[in-house]
Amino acid sequence: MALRNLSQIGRKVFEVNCNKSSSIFVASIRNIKQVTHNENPDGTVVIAGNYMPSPRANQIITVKSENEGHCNSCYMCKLNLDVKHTDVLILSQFVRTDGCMLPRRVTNLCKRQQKRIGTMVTMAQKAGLMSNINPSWSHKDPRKRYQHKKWNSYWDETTIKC
Amino acid sequence: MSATKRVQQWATLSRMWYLFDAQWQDPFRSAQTLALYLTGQNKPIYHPLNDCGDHVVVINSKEVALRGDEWKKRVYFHHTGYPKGASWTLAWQLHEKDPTMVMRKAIFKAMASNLIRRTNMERLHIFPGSEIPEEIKGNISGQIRPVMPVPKRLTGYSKEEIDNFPKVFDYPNDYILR
Amino acid sequence: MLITRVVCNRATKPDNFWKRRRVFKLTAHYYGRKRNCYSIAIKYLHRALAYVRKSRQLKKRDAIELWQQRISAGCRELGSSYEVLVRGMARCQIALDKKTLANLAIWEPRTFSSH
Repeated sequence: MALRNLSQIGRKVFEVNCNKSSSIFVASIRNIKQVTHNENPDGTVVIAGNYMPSPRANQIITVKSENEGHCNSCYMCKLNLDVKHTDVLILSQFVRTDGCMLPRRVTNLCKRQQKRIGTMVTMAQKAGLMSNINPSWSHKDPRKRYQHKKWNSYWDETTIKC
Repeated sequence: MSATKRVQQWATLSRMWYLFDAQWQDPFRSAQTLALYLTGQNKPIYHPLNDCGDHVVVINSKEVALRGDEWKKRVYFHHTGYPKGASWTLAWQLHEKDPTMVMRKAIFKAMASNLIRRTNMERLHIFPGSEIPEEIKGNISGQIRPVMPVPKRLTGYSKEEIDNFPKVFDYPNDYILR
Repeated sequence: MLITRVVCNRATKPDNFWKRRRVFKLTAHYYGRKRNCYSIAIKYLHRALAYVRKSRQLKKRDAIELWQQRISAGCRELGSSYEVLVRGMARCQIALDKKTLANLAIWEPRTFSSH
């Protein structure tokens, strides 16, 4: 019984269960690696952690225009979109399920865009437009807030300082 | 005057009833538009001495949106006339007491200060919700366009719409979805 | 009409009389002493004439403002705006003034919408 590639699996795999009878383990949707457990005809068992394709892999938009925005290295600058804080379909891509903005090493944005998008995410959350992206116990629903936070408000993107 | 001409004249000088949905609208920006309808400046026959203003029915005034943190920064002043009679009310407090007041005051301010201002204000009907009395609902014959686009919440989109929307970036290879 | 020498001296000279008569003719519609007393009437008359001079300009300005309001109301009915109309007409070299446009907006809305 030889174990290979175990070091690759690392801490990302927590559902390694060698006693299971089924030959293939499907990692939960939270993990990007898939653990396979194969038994070869000669009696060796191979447990490998393979990268799963990202759920948004085939929906990525490719950038055609070059160097129209602030810089030419960052994809948001290349896209040169006029993003508002009401564009929740775009902004929700930069947010974890608990409502936090993703860090820059994950989003790969330039500093200016990271700041802009982070501010717009905050704006959308304050306006209660993305209230479903947060932990279940939080009261982000605007109607449940108190005092001035209870009423609707909108923001101006020109006030973002960067 | 022929019958058709007479009817045309009646139609020209008759008052229209307009509906305005104030949901997610800035009261101060929409007041600029509504003041035109109330004073009659939306008609080419307008004259300052010509009383040709229209009726405007504003619904959902409870759902108006103020810019930024104006709900706690905007202050409404009132003085009773007696000593120590001054009072300052924040916008969110005023909106809690009377959800139509912020809208009404915004429109009153947007109209020129003259003797027919209060007469024109009488043609404004504001309702906090979407419920309108039957006698007013029967009169309504037109609608005023919203001055700002109404944002849609993320919960308003279906799961397919969110999943099929083009994505701007992909996660790094070793990223764990949370 | 000579009554006494004293009264004759007090009486106004003919020139003075005609001068005052000219002023009183202009202040005939005033109320109170500014109609009959010369020294008060002349003050109010001077003020009134200054107003008249100023309002000769204001009248034109008011008319222009009214035409603009009427044209922009006509444009708003068609989903356009006053600035767009003016710029478009300048580009097409249509030399219609505001008064004509306002009249077209009122009386011939279809002609107006063709602009």
